[in-house]
Amino acid sequence: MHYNALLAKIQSLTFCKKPAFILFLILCAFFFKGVFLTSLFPIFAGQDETKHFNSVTFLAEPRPITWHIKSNVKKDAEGMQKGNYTEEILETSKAVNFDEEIKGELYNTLSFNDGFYGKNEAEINENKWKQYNENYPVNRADISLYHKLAAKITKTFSSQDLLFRYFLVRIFSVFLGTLTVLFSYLIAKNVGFSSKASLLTAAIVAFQPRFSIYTAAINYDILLILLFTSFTLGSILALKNGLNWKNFSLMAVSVYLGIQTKPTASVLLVVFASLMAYFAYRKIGIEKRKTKLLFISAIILVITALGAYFKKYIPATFLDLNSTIPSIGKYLSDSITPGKLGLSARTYWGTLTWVDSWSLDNITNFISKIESFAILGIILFLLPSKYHNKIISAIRRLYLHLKTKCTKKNSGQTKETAISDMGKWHNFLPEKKYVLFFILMIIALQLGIRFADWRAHGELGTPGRYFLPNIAAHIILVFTGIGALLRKEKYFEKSLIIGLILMMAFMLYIIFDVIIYRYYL
Amino acid sequence: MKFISGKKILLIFAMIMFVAVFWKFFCLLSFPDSSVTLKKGDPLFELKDGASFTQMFTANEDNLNKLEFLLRTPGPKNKSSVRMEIADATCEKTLRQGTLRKSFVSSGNLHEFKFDIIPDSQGKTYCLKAEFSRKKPDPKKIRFFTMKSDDPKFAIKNEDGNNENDGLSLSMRTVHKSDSLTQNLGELNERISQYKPFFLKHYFLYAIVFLFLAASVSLVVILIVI
Repeated sequence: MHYNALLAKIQSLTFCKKPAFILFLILCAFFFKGVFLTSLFPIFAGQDETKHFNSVTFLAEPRPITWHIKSNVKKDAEGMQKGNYTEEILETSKAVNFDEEIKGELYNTLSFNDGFYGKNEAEINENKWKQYNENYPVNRADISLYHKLAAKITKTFSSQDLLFRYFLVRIFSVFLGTLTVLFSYLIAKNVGFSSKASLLTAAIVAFQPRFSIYTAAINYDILLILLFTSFTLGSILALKNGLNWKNFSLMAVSVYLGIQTKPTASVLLVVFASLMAYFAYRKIGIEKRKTKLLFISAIILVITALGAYFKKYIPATFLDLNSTIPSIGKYLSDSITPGKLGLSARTYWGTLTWVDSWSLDNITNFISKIESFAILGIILFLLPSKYHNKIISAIRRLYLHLKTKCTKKNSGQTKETAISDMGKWHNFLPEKKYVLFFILMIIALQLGIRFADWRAHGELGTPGRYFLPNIAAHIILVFTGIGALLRKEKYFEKSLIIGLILMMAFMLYIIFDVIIYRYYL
Repeated sequence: MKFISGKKILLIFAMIMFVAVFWKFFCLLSFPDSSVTLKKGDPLFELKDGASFTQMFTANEDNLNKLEFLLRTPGPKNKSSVRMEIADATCEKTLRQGTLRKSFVSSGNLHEFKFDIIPDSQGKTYCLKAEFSRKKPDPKKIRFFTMKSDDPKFAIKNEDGNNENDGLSLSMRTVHKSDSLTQNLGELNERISQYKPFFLKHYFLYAIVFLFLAASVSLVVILIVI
């Protein structure tokens, strides 16, 4: 079919243009991509997956305990067999030869069989091993809401073999990721992006490789990402429509469930308190001395309450400034280095640390360059108008110069209309308050993660995946910055489309040319 | 009209990216003999500038199209190369020749010798010949990891034909490709399906991949066109 005919055909299909249909398509693409990714990663291969799955199994165990518990078990074994997991997990890991073939050297794969069944798959399918923990202390993660929800799934399907339950929990993670993509769309829509720009933003989030890979694994961070995103949505709605019981509930529930999921969500308490202070300030005003005192007292009360809450995370020696300040200084000088920041950024976007790939490193470096431009755009966007006008004038002069050159043949548009076009750039970008809020969210998460890392003497590190909870805010900020530089809605939408094409190509490259190559070829 | 041409450019750009990814994928689509676990075994087999060796090996599958070797870093650099040949079991008749190159995702310094498919290779023994050469004289050697060989027939033989390597063979494996793209995808599906529940196996897997790709492509096209 000729291109124009195809174009006309697509444009004549009115349902294709409906945002609800396109959103459905985005969610379907993300979900099926996620399910495909769950099948690509061999069992137990995800980040800390065995530990998290054992937490799920632990919660799904029958209660009260009717079997013999062996305490203080320390095994003289290697790899997976060293851990105190259920018999089912240990025997399955032996059956798939996990330590040798999956977790082993990167150039080796599973020893494949002919046909669709692994060499020892029948043994796993017999479902004959114990699904409960006998050896204590149990090798598991801190129990969280994610594990509790996943345990409900495994309990429902306890008669099925481990492969069935394990991959079903992975698909549950994909479902949580799908909700995150949906919330990303709603955030973009409510900060003022057009319907198309919001769909493009959600699609870019849906194809972000690290996010996609992470949501195809068993890990409580996936629920944390969802709850951060729902909190962001609640906050944006409150900033847009004013505080009401709906957006307050969304924020409060997100904070509560977030803390039930992972301590990292505690940083949301600070953001939540700051937002409440902001709304209180706007509502009551503090012109009167009495109100001012009341407001300040309330702030002090909240800060004290937060201090009491965060006390458990603060080391006992924190107030000993002679040791704390050098310790923080050492941490910052060790961790805030171009190399470590670069690694965090690259792994955030999708570099896989387990492969040495020139392409992956260079693609992620290219994304970092785009981010640098976006930061410039954000700075320009946030500048006070008095500085702004000077910069705008300079850009306008340059713009008019170029435009006059480019449109000599089609000079219907006067210089005045060109200038008036330039003045409309705020119409398609979010208001400054949303941008500032996103930056606040990013700073809060950065501080939270770096504080936890400092507390653990840098043992946690700051891999890119830790920053995924702000993925929606991050993508919106990047494209707001680019939009602020491009200054026209048409170009802004084009930049989003190019962003989507590149992100999708990067994701497909990682799936088909890296992950499949690593595990199956 | 100008706007339409902008959309056309974006569609072509999306198509180029899509084709590039899948072109690479189809180039990579060949299957190493997974029954061989490559090991960084000692002692290393060292190859000096100008030196050569031979080693017999057997292909377990038809359509042999690649050999993979584990080398100690660094492998051959820009100004040096390891030239390889595959000959018949008598080491007389050369069947394929080429150069050793670093593998695509160079995990653990895996190197590969890629060549046109040798059909009907299953169960046949071949002779691998390799020679190391540099453009400029340099004492640095290429070092191959080795594995113990149960059969002395498959041990490395130096250029003079002597087997001084005490029953060692290179840490290497054969790679094959099926006859058609459909068969290749079928074999990949078999590999991915193993140790998966029924809903991620075989036809379900095909359906999942189809739905993912169909939704993704439609999405991009619609977002460009509307």
